[in-house]
Amino acid sequence: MTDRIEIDNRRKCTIPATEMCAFLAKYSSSLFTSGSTCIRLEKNVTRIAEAYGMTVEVTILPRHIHLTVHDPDYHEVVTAITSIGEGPISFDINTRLSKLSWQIADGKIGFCEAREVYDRLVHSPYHSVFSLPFIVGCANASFCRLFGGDWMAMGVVFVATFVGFVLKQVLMKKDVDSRLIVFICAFVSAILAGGDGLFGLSATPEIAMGTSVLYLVPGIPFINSFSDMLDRHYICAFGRLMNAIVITFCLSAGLGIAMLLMGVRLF
Amino acid sequence: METALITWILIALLSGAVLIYDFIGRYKATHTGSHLVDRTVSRTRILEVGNECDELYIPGDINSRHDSDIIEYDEEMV
Amino acid sequence: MELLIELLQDAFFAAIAAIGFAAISRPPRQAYLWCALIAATGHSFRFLLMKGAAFHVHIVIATTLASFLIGVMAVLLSPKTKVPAETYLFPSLLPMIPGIYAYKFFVGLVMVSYHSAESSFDKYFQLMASNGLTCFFILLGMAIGATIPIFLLKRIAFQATRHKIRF
Repeated sequence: MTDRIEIDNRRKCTIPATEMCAFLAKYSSSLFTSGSTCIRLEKNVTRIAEAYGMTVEVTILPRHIHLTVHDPDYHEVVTAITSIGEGPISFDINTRLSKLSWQIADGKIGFCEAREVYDRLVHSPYHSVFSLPFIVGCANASFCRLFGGDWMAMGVVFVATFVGFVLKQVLMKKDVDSRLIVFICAFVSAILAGGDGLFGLSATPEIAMGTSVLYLVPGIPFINSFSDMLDRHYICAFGRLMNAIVITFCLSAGLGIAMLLMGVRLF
Repeated sequence: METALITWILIALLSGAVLIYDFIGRYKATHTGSHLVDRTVSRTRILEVGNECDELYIPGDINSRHDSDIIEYDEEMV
Repeated sequence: MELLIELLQDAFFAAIAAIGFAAISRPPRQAYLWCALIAATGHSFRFLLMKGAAFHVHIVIATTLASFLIGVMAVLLSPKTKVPAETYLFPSLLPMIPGIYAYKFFVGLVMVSYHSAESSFDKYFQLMASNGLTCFFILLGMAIGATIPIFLLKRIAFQATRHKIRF
């Protein structure tokens, strides 16, 4: 019972629709960048707005999000169009933003507090449990094994992936275009993995070369795209699919040129 | 065969250089700059449509449009 | 017996691959272990379907079924750990992404435009089309298989991060 009274007290404080809309715009932009699907974005945004008695309509475009917040009590209608930032996919931020939406909806925290929490969590740096190049190298080496490579090929793939991933991080810090990064990293990794066949280290050189670039495949955009498609967000799904296809194309170009230079044939 | 060998050696040398460069970078700045620049927060434009219907923008009459109708929210403001 | 050893090996390497690829998409710390477990189960299930003597299922169907299993596990697990289902679901699916088919498709595409003689054109066109279609349908199957549990168990899936679930 006390729980309910507290929730009602929180909701009585009026938030101007403009403020709400500005907050939701930033919130949805961050949520989208962190790699959430359209259905989750719509649900979270609606949940926050409804906690304050407002309704919201969301249009998700490939590079922009369009929100209209309606406050029936004050007959206010506010529209915001926000561009979607470019950034790394982060399920950590995705999880914490979703938690925030429920905390607001359940009246656990007020609006101003929520904004502070939001600012803090968006800017919080992510520290991985593992050293990223090392763990990605291990993952790609196991992938090589799954495709039938032998132990030596796994070692070569580990080294190629490790170097490629370090290079990727260095280039990302230098703000190089993401597609160019994928092309360069795919090329370098594939050439290094080509050493396997060049020096006759293992019996499966083409598997080593093929799997050495798999860490660059945009898996999350592909899955997100298809799950948006099932949710009938066709424009957004197509945007994400196109993005993933372009990256895969850059990857294939790097790999293809490397294979040509190393004299390895895929077919 | 020769092209392959030369390419491999060149790329291997380059990768070695990158690894050393990265290591020196990490060594110099163990705390700062180890994570990426955050670009997730973007600029938002708000178009406010108020209750005062007579003050709404009418096409062709640019003067009736108030500057206050368009508010730019920067990160500091919100 | 041989199949069992291969199955365990498949599960083990899939788990490592899942941890590594999950690390790129920055999951919360507690998610690593669960991602590895779910991915290992899913991937070895697919292996069993494809290689098991009694089944020999096509890769598209095997992937769809394995994704469904992964989806159910992720959705059931998510409220217990207060994490959205996607956080477990998507990294666990990553080892099954048809990366090799995808770039074989692009290499085939380049080859098709490179060779105009009918016999080599036909050969590369066939390779391009079969790889591209397989890639597309694996992805579609993965998305369908993994999304069905979310829709079936909607109440759980979208309230996972809530403090207390009210059924």
